This record gives sequence, structure tokens and C-alpha cells, in this order.
Amino acid sequence: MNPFTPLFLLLGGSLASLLADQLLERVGAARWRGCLAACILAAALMLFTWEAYLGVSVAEFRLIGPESPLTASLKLDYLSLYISIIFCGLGLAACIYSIKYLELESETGVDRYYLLLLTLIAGLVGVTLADDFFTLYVFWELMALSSYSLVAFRKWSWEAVEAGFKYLVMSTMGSLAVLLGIAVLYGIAGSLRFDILAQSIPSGGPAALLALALIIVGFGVTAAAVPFHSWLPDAHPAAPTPISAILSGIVIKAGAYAMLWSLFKLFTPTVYGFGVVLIAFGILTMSFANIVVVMQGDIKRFLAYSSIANMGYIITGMGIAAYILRSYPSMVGAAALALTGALLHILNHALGKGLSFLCAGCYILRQGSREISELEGIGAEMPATTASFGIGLLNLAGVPPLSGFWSKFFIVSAGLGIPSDGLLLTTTLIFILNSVLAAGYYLWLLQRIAFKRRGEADPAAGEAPALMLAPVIALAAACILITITISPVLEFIRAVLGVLLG
Amino acid sequence: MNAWEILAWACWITPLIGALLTPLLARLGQRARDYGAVLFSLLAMIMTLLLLPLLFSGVELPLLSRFTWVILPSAPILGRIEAGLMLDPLSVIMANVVSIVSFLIMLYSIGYMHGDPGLTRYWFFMNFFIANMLLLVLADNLILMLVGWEGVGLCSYALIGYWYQDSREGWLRYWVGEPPEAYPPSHCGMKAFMVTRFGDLLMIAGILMIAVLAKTVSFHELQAAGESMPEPIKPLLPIALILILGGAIGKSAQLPLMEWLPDAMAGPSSVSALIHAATMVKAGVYLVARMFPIVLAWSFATPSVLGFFYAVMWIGALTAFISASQAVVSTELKKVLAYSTVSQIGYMMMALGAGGLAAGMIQGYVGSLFHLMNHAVFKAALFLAAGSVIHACGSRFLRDMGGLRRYAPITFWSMLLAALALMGLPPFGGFWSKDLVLAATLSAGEYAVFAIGIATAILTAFYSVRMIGLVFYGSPRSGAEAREAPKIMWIPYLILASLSLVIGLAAPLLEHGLEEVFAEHFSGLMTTRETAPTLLTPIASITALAAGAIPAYLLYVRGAWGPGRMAPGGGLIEGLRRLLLRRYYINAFYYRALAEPSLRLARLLLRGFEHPVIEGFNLALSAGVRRASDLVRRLHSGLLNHYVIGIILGALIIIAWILLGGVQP
Repeated sequence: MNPFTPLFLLLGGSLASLLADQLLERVGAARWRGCLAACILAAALMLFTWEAYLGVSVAEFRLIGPESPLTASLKLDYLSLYISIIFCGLGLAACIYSIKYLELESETGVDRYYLLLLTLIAGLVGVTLADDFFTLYVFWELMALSSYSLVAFRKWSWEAVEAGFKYLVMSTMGSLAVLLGIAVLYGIAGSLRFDILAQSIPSGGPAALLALALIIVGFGVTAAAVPFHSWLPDAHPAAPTPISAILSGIVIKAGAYAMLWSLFKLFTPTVYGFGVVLIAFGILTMSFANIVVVMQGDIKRFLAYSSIANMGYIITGMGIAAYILRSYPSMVGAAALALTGALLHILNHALGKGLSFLCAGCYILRQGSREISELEGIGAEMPATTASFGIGLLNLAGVPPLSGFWSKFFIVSAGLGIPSDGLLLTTTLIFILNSVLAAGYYLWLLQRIAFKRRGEADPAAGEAPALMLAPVIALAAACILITITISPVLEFIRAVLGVLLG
Repeated sequence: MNAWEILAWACWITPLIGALLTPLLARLGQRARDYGAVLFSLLAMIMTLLLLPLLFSGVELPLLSRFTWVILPSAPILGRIEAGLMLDPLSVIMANVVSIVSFLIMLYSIGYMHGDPGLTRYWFFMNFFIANMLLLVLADNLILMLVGWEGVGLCSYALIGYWYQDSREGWLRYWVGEPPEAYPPSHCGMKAFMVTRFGDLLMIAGILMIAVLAKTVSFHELQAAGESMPEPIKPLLPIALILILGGAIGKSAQLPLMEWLPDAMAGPSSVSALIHAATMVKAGVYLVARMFPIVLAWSFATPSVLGFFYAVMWIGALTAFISASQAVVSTELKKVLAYSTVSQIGYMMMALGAGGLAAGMIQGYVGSLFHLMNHAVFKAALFLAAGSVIHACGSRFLRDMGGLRRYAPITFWSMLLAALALMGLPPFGGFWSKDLVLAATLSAGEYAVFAIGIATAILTAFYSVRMIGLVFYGSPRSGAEAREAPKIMWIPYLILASLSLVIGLAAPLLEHGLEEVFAEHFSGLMTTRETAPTLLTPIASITALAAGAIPAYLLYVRGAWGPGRMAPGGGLIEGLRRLLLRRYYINAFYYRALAEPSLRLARLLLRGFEHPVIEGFNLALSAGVRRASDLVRRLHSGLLNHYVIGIILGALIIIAWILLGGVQP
């Protein structure tokens, strides 16, 4: 498949969706706005899934000009497929959810919403399909701008505007750091294409090191690593709920993907020992976030901080893999295990957190408040939503046999695979303690929402509307399905690892 | 995956899905829920019936089906998790017994449990039970079987304690026992769980031992593993087998872990029929039957493992006798049936043990299995009919029943047929299978066990006739207005009672068929195939039957004795009666010596350790986390300037770290 196809589909589709929504509003069928967007996302998801089913070889497609170091290009390989499927899947769920959600929340500017949503997904997919830094940066910025607009969507609310502005400023600082790093790399290699960069970087000396640092910093901002995370707790609650789900579920994963790709492909871990840096980052992130979660009273802020913690797990997994490859080059199996855990956790967290946010949205809509103290016990009145919410939280908490357990287990197994190494042992211990703490607060949240007894049953309360409930149940079913068919998923991830580690 | 494998997986997953759907169906209405739940058990029954042709289709057995869940070779542990099912004559036959009896009992439950407020919970656990029981008999390895084993234990606990409210007004219907051994339903559920758990603990230890010694837990591979056992571990094998036997003893309520079954009668009669007569208590017999060829295969290299069969046989024999003696004096209808169940399972164990010791083992194996099938059918019929009787009379005590023959004729005939099968009257099925059991003990040369079997047969006949006499003959002693049960209740137990007659009439054919199937299956393990037919056993069993039945008939049917009355001449007989009524004081011993000290210790630990130390630690930990959280939270001031400073600081630190040599190539 031509990697340009899904991009064209999404970008063109965003414009088409804009026109279609305007038309529908004119005709008076305003309820159907967003359906075209959902269809386009479904089509993109189907394209990617079909391609994954067929098996793929690395395909390169040049956009402009002849074979030259300056040409922009796209790629399609197992890693892109894996990440894009996750992006499109969650995007589709959020899009369907939005159709009813926006109507119930009486949002304004709905016609622009789907345009922005599709360009956001297009930017995200473009990042995974990019085969050179220029293309990656262009799509990165597309993603950043779209997500900023969506965070600040409720422009009449001070909270959204402030959160959006913070997100814009901090994300721009990250992008600037990345841009500086890219510039340095261009100086070293004379080209921005990944294959040429991979060959030239080892001879780059201190300049390459500077670029490495800047790239970690820049992508780390979006990936919500700890000194750079502060935009997230404000942005995710302030955005409309489906956007929060997308932000937590996939936008921050784009940061993880970009870090994964540039670090493992360009600055190969056997040459550059960045594993320790990532481990330190990851541990700081997860510990910091896990400690702060317990005091949160706003449910969306609660989930937002836990997203930061989960990014910490993913970064730690990447760090452990890189560290093992550098210090114990023969233990490739353990490094592969850690990366498997990190990649699987990307999937699990996207599912679980996306699901949690969408359910939280259902509760907030019914209750009219985001405070957990006011949402206590609402679960009894909305059983289907709460059952799905429970599945999502248990998946995130890492309760066996759900797949969330396996991703954390693989990372821990890898860390314990070399018992003599003190750093790995300490890291794994801290990882385990954090997971236990996280499991505790997820179960605490579930207990408060689902099992606490309320005063009187609110007569207006009832199950969430069907169009909002459907994606929620679909995501919960996906969690269970992934648990049962985890073997094929692991097979796919093994193919992805082949791409990353060679 | 071929059609047989799909059927095998589907037949246990279907009731599982049914259980999970029950709460959803309940929202659609009561009838949807009730009939929906029964529908799933019907589907399971159809699927297991469809598996029967596999035994005659010429496909090589056992047919193994594997489902791989996780394979990750580089993971140090848990790198390979698979589940597998095995289809061979034993598993297919057991699955059919389970599903057919389960379906009829589910049908009965619609009428019996009608109007009960907690029915959603009931249907959920019944379907969940069927799923776990089918998984237990179809599993291809000890670990997966253990999953089903624990599942049925859970359902048993939940269903025995179904009327967990323990209301005192329901004393006549819902409790069990008489003071000082009267127990409420929730207590009985916990007791069943605890006692079987103890057996399970031994079993798990045994499974772990076998897993380590033989390096496999799959039944198929264990059989072959016997040839390559290294010398040093050979003495450990009998120990592992005895430990596994511990689980079977617990689950099948044999000596010394049989005290939970009589008290499990606090549950609804349908539950007693399903779990405690027809299926779950047979799980222990199934386990021994499963281990049977494995132990035989091992015995060629390690003769000491044959001690396993000695243990099985003697435990079965002693249990059979002791339990039957307790049934003779019991004052409650369901307790008579419960003791009877324990006793008959003793017969099955006896047959398996004797078969293992004899050269042509088929007789014992087939005898046990055939008796299992027969017993499931007639005991389920008895329990279901007993439920109907208790419903009609409003009380569980035999002293409140009587003269029901006129008011509930269908129930009378069903119970009579089933009781005749239990006694072993020809041509009923019970006669044929009991005959095989006794013949097996003779073939093995175990004359003492044979004598115990005959003595038990006498007692069996006695208490069966006693029961029929007390319930159906004489003048009505119940105050309630007794009448026949509704159709949906008597159809299942009439079917089952008639089935026991039909099986009896077809018994010679069935026996021959079973012997053929299993002889084929075990062809490598037997030394002789011929079993000498003997007239001794039928004559002995019929004599025993007469010796037991005639006195009981004279006393309870013609003489209209009450349940508490014994022969005049007080003293010794009365003392014996009290001993039997108090269950040889074994139950009292367990409470005094084990239960009460444990409770006292638990209370001590609660006051002395849990509250000060553990609670204190928990509170300190949560307070600590709260404080830490509060402190760290202050770093989020909300001011963008501070956040940007954070970015710049972080960036500078990382750049400095990387540039200054942290990551040199």
C-alpha cells in the first residue's frame, strides 16, 4: 500500500467533512454531523488493518523530486502500522462518541471540530509514516496545532483557553528544541532522511550528542516526561472529553513513538548509551505522577496524572531495553522483552485510558460535575458504563489475566533478567512499587464510582445514550479480546521489534 | 481445529456464557432469565451428546486440543501458557452424565425455586457450575483440571449457602441437623468450602510434586513418563499420589473428610441433586479414574505406587460402611440421601482400588464408572423427589412426613423406582453395577473388602426401605396440606427414575459396550482380559438386599414405626443409635479439636497483631502518601512561567548530562 493513501484520505477527508457538515447543517440534519468523519476514520483503520493482515515489506514513497538527500519521503513498516492502527482505532471511537457528546454539551463550532479531529489524526499518522525529519516535523506541527485548537475548543471557558495557551507555549518550546536538534543533525549529515542520518551520526562527535539531548527534551515535552509534563494536567481536563481521550491515549504516544524511532534507529543504543537517561526520566516521571494522583479531586485530572505515570512506564521500558543493549549486548532476548512490554503498554494504555476518559465523560454528563466526591456511587445507575469502566481500570491497574498485566510483567521480567546489575534491580523495584501504588488508586477510584452507596437515586440519571455507550463497550470488548488473543498481538509486536532492532 | 474439538470447547464455554449473560437476561424479565438459563444447559447437553459418536468413529483417542494463550520464549517464567482439552472415553462419558443430569435439574429448578428473590444469583452459579464441571472432566492436564475443580468448589459454597440470610423462621425448611448439630445455610457453605479446601491443599501439593518430578502435568504425557523415571525420585511418587488422593477424598466426601456433605443439605434440593449427588462429588472418583492408567503405567517400573490403589480401596470400603450405618438412624430425609451418597461413592472408590490391584482391571474400572452413571441418575431422582416431598410437607424431618402415597403418587413411584435401584434390586441398573463392584473385589482377592461391601449392601437396603416407609406409608404426620408437585418438577425426576430402570434393562449391553471401549483403550496396561463370571456375587448381593429390606419392611412399612424408634430393650441399642446419630462423634471432634482452637487463635491474632500492627502500618502508609502528595503538588503552581522554567532547567540538565560524557559512544 502506498503510504500516501491513508494520509490523503485523512487530510482530504477533513476538508470533505468540513463541507459535508456545513451542508448537513444547511439542510437541517445537524444530528448527522461527524458521521462522514467517522466513516473516513473507519476507512483509514481498515486500510491499516488490511495491510497488517497481508504482511508488509518496507515501502518507500518519495513525495517530491528525484533520489536526493533533500527529498521528503514516507515509509510504511510494521512499527508504523502498529502505531497507526492504535491511533485510528481510538480516533474512531472518540469520533463516534463525539457525535452525541457535542450535541448534549451544546458545543459551538461543531463544524470545525471534525475538521480539527481529522487533521489531528492525520498529523499523528503522518508522524508514524514519516521517513525523514522534515516530513516528521511538518506532521508534528500539524498535530500540535490541531490539538491545541481542540484543547482550547471551548473558547468561552477561561479554563480551556488557559490550558490551551499553556499547552501551546510548552509544546512550541518542545518543537523548537526538536527543530534545533534537527538543524544540528542536518549540519552533521547534510540530509534529513533517516537512512542517511543513521549512517552519518556515529561520526558526529559532540554535535550528535547535543542533537540527542535536544531530541529527548523536545519529544519528551509531548510525551509528558516529568520536568516537561506540566501542560498535561491542565490540558486534558479542560478539553472536551473525547479529545481528552485522544490526548491521553494517542497524542502523548506520538511523543513516545518519535523518541523510540529516533533513538533506536538513528542513535543506536549499542553505540550511544542513552538507556540510563531514559531510565532516570522514566522513574522520575512515574514516581512523581503516581504520588500526586492520590490527592486529585477532579476525575479528569486524576486520569490525566495517571497518564503521565503510564508514559513513565513506557519510557522506563524503552530505557531498560536500551541499557541492556548497551551494557550486555548478548542479552538481546531481555532487551526485546522490555521493548515488547513498552510497545504492548502503548496499546494497553491507549485502550484503557481512552476507555476511562470516555466513561468519565458519560458520568460527568449525567452529573454535571467533574468532582469525584459528587460522582461517588453513580456507577449503580449506569451499569454498562461502569462495567466497561471497571474493565478499563483493571486493565490499567495490571490485574492478571488482562493484557495490562502482561505489558508490565514483561518489563519487570526484563529488568530482573540480569540480577547482578544494581541499576536494573533498583529500577525494577521502583517500577513494581509504582505499579502497586497505581493499582491501589485505580481500584480506589473504581470503588468510589461503582460501589459506594449514594443517598437517593437521582431520577434524571440513567444509562448513557447509545451513541456514547457504543464506543465505550467496543473499547471494553477490545480489552477483553486483546487479552484472549494476546498471542497474535505478541507475534505482531515481534515483527515490529524486527524493524526497531534489526 | 476439527469439529470434535470445536464441540469440546463449545460445550463448556456455552454455560459459562450463559452464566455471564444471566444478569443481562434478568433485566429483560423473569421468564427470559429462567428459560434463558435453562437453554444454555440444554445447549451444553446437546453438544456433549454430539460428542458420543466420537467414541465409535475410529478416530484415534485420546483426541487432544490445544489453545495457546501466551508464548514468549524469552520470558524467564510464565512464558508459555496453554490450555488443552482431552477427548477420550472417560471424559466424554463423564461430560454426558454431567450435562444430561444438569439439564434435567435446571428444568426442575424452574418450578422448585419459583418466586425466590435471589434467583439471578442462583442461575448464575448453576450455569457457572456446569461450565466448571465440564471443564474439569475435559481438561487434558492437572492444572486446568484444578481450575475447574476450584470453580465447582466455589459454586458449591455459593449454592449451599444460597439462603444465606439464615432466617430462623425457615428452620424447618432451610437449616440442617438437630441440636446440638443444627447449622444454618451460610455456616454449611463455609464448612463445605473449608473441608474441601483442606483436601485441595493436599492435592495441590501433590500436583506440584508431580510437576517437578515428572516434568509434565499433562495426563497423556504422565502415562508415558513412567518409563523414564530416574531412580532417586521413585520413592517420592507414592507420596505425591497419596497427596493427590487427598483432594479426591475431600471433594468426594470420603473418610476422613466426609463431614461436609451431610451438612451441605442446607442448600436447595436441586443443588443437592446436582452438586452433591450427581456431579461434583463424583469429581474425586473421576480424578482417581484419570490417575488409574497413569498409576498402572508407573507400576511397571515402580511397584510401590500400587499402594495408591490399596488406599483408595480401603478408604472407599470403610467410608461405605460407616456412612451407610449413619443413614440407618437419620431423622432427616435429605440427610439419609446424603449419607447414602457418601456410601455409594465409597463403592465406586472400592471398585477402582480393587481394579487397580487385579490383573484384569477392566472389571473394577467399568464397575466404578457404571456405578457412577447409575448413581447419578437414581440419586438425582431421589433428591429431586425429596425436594418435592419437603415442599409438600413443609418440613425436612421424617417425623413430619408420612402417608404421602395417596397424595403424591407420581413422586411415590419415582422415589420407589430410584430406591429400588439404589438397593440393587434386579433388573434395575444399581444391581448390575453393584454386582460388578463386588466381583471386582473378589477378582482382586480382597475378601475382607468384599465382606464390607456385602454388609454395606444390607444397610443400604435397610435404610432405603425405611425411608420409603417413613415418607409414603403410615398416617400423614405433616400439618400442611400435601399434594403432588407441579408438572415441571415431577417430569425431570420421573424421567430420571425411569432412566434408571431403562439402564438396568439394557445393562448387560451397556456393560459389554463399556468393557469393549475401555479394553481397547487400555490394551497396553492389562495383563489378562478375561474375567471369570461368578454366581457368587449376584447371590450374595440379593441375599444382602433381602436381609436388609425385609426387617425394614416389617418395621416401617407394615409396622408403622416412627423414625426415632428403635427396638425395645433400651440400653445398648439406644446407645448405638445415639452414636450413629451423632456421626460417631467425628463431626463433634472436628469442631472441638480443629475449628474452635483455630477460631480462638484467629481472634487472638486479630486483637493482638492485626489491629495494632497491620492496621497501624496501613494508616501510617496512607497518611504518608497523602503528605508526600500534598508536598509534591505544590510544584504545580499553575503559573506558566514556572512551568517554562521547569522545561528549561530539565533541558539544561539533560544537555549537560549527555554532553559531558554520560552517553559517550
